[in-house]
Amino acid sequence: MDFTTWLTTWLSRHPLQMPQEPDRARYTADVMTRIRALEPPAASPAPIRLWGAWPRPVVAWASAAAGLLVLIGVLSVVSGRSMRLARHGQQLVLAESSPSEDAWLDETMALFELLDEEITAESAGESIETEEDWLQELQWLDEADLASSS
Amino acid sequence: MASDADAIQAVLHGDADRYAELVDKYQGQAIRLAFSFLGNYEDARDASQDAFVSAYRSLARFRGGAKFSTWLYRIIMNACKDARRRRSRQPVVVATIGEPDPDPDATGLFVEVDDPAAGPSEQLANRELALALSQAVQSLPEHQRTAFLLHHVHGVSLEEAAEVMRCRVGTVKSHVFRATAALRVRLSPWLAKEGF
Repeated sequence: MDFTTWLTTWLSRHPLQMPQEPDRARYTADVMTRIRALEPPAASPAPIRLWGAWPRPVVAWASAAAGLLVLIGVLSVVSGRSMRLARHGQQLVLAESSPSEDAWLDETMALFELLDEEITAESAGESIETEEDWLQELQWLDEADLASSS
Repeated sequence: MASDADAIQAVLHGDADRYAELVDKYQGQAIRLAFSFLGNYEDARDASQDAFVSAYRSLARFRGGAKFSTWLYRIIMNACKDARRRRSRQPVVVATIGEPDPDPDATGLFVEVDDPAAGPSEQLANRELALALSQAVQSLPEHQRTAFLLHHVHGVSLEEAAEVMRCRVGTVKSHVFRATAALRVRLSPWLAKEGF
């Protein structure tokens, strides 16, 4: 026999000591005398919940805040990747970057067409004589911009 | 006999006298529980009556999902804690000149069962064991004592004890296990005679 079994057996044979015949009626009467002197406990209506039992407000707000932070992070990454400044003469134009260089050049050209601007030596500056030179200059400027920002 | 829920609803709708049904039904358990915590009948009676009054005051907050007895047990435990706190603030008389020692026949919390087959020395040993077990239980840390008394002395299930103590079932198990281990150490002089 282990100790726990012995102990439970012992406790079953030795109940709690109590007075032989406690006066039950007197006990109840004493309690009820005190109770009748109190205000009755009114039945409270069911509490009105402004928020459901689940999710709890704290958890819901924490989830919303975390979601907002993730959204801000994603947006900042997307905007940082896709938008860069392109130079057209004395103008700065916000252009969307592309993963490949060729596509980026094509999109830049398309942007110029959209702006109805003709790329000429005059508009591009004296040192730039051809369209190809200007595009190289534009690419250099863009790389320099990226290097300075990183 | 009306159910606890019927009596509670009647009380909440203004029939305070119906509360007597609950007091009558649960007073035995309430006094026993308080006695096991306090070790004194008068204190147990007062604490359990205080608990019934507190339960009446808070009856509107009682949710029908739990048993009334479980809810009452928790209120009794709190009343016992208050009683112990009050008692600890009172001065303790260690000894009084000219008065006899405390009752030498005292057996503490538990009833001493007379065994006709036992000799005088064995009966004395049984009495000492009962007293030692009472003192050992009373000296346990509060959570261990509560879990041990609820489960082993009052026969409350571990799940219900967890509700009363507002903790997980695993925690109650841990308290009961630690309490049993501590009692084994405290009772080792007597346990040797029992073959442990």
